[in-house]
Amino acid sequence: MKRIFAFCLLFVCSISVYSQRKATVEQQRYMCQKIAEASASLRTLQCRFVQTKEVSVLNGKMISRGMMYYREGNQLRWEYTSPYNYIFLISGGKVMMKSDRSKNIIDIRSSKLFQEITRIMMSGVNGTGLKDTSRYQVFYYDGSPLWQIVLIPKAKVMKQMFHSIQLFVSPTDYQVDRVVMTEANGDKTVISLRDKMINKSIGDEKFAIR
Amino acid sequence: MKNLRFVSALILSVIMVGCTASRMSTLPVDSAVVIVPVDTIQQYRLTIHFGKQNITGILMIRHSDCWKGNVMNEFGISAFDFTVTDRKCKIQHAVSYLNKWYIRRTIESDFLFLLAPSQRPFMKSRKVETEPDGTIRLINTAHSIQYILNKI
Repeated sequence: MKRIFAFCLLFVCSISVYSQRKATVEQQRYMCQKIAEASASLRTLQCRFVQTKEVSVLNGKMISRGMMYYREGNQLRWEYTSPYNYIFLISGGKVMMKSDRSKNIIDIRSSKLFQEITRIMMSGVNGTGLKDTSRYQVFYYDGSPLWQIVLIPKAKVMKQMFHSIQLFVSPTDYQVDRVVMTEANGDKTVISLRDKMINKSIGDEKFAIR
Repeated sequence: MKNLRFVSALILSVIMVGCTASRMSTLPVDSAVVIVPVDTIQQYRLTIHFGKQNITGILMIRHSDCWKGNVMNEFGISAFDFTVTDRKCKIQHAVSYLNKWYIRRTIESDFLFLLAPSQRPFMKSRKVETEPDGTIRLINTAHSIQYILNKI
């Protein structure tokens, strides 16, 4: 029985290895170029997202849902609508965090912490994080149906928090489809972006901080 | 001084923080068992007040032979994991900024007080209250910290 299980495990592993091959230098260059082109032409992006947090100590999951809105010029609204309400909004050099019980607005320039948070979030959405080789080791995999890009943090603070950040990119629209963040303790958070609408107008009210 | 260090580290440790001034209402209702032990995961919206600031996040908790829990921010990034038995709370893993002995000791004592009612007579400077809407409020008067839990 154990042998059968071991064989099945090996078989499954071999399939996953086959489906995610390390990209050649040419493929890597092609992927970078296509993602950069898509980022350069990205004016707005809006989508639904589903966030699944796996907590190893509880052997359980938490699923959160919401909407994401991005507009060029460093404007990002990340809004959870279920099972809790929470808005994280970057706009006009400020960050607003709003929950049912609290609201806070911070000037990004006055806080190094929030400069870093903003940089991480914006680079994840518009793809500039891939060029940031001073902060991450970047590995490319030419997978099917999605390209896989693995970011291994170099900075001490990020390393203590994350083991890796994996971006799964669609080879058709060159946008991120899924983000998998693996924490140092083994917990995983998977964020899937769905029903993406690219370069469709988004009302100013979505980015209004008040 | 310890309180100041606790607050500073807590601010840094949770990436997405919400800070606001807020007024506390003190309610006399006190309940021994504020979170019922069931073998399914319970989720709570967690707000931690200290001074004029607060941090928001999520508490996931389950009871089997002991309590096991995880506190994370809204983006799913874990702040710390813990286990609570009848006599002891132990933080298993904490993000680096929280991983200081004085922070661990404060959080461990507060969560022991919350989840192990039998230990409350031996612990000073803390009280737990429940409001009619089910909100649970744990108050650490020594460090001026309040933990507010709302079931999701």
